[in-house]
Amino acid sequence: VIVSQKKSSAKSSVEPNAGLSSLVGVIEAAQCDVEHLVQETAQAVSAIIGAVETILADENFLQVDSDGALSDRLIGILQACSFQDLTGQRLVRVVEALQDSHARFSEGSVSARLSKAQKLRAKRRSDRLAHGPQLDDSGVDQSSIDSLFD
Amino acid sequence: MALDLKMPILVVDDYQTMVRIIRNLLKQLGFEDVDDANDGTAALAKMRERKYGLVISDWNMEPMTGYELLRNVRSDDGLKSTLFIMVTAESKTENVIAAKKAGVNNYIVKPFNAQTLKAKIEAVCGS
Repeated sequence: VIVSQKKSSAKSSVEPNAGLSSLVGVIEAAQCDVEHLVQETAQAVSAIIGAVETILADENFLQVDSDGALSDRLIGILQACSFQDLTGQRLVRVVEALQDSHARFSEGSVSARLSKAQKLRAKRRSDRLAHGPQLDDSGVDQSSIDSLFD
Repeated sequence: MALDLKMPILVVDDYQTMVRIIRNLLKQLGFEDVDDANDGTAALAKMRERKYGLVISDWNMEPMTGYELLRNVRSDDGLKSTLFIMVTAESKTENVIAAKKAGVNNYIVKPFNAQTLKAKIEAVCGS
């Protein structure tokens, strides 16, 4: 519900007759939201990892968990926290795309001719897109990679 | 072949979350001597100060990527025999092939689990 409300509020701020400046404002707000999302997720994951580390280092816990079954569950939580690395990389690319759009619209240049700085930014973004997490159909899985090393 | 659990390991990643996760996984596997660096430049400096048995590195870092770190390591007479595992989200075939050509010992694509990490360490240490 919140997401749909936010979407509609973002839409309403870009009326067909709205100027370039309001579009720049929307991009700025989106950029700010995504940057906060990255920071808040990192903080939350750091807190979860910290809690797991504390438990794993607790002598009383280690005595109770003599067969290591609970430790294995905690390691499962740590592994799950690695999502933050992948989502972080994807979100950084979104932030860069927003920065790029913001710079272009701020300069008032929506024409097809790109300035040298804009071309550089576009190239840097394109280089970034070639790296990091890929979409499901454009990367290879671990078993395919393993076959290259057999 | 039994793993040498005293082998010094260097974890290289610019995401502190991943450094902590890999450090904890290695600790659970029994490795006692784990160090870390947050990019290729820092890793290379540490490797020139101390001999590591294994480097576990991310690819996508600035200013020096994991791939550049690998190439630097393999071209340095004092470091070139260091075992090197790439742990990365770079899952494009051409990237995997480039890393293999540059001399990586094994390659783990993120996300991964403790079993995969253990299997790859055993594979490179036993090879």
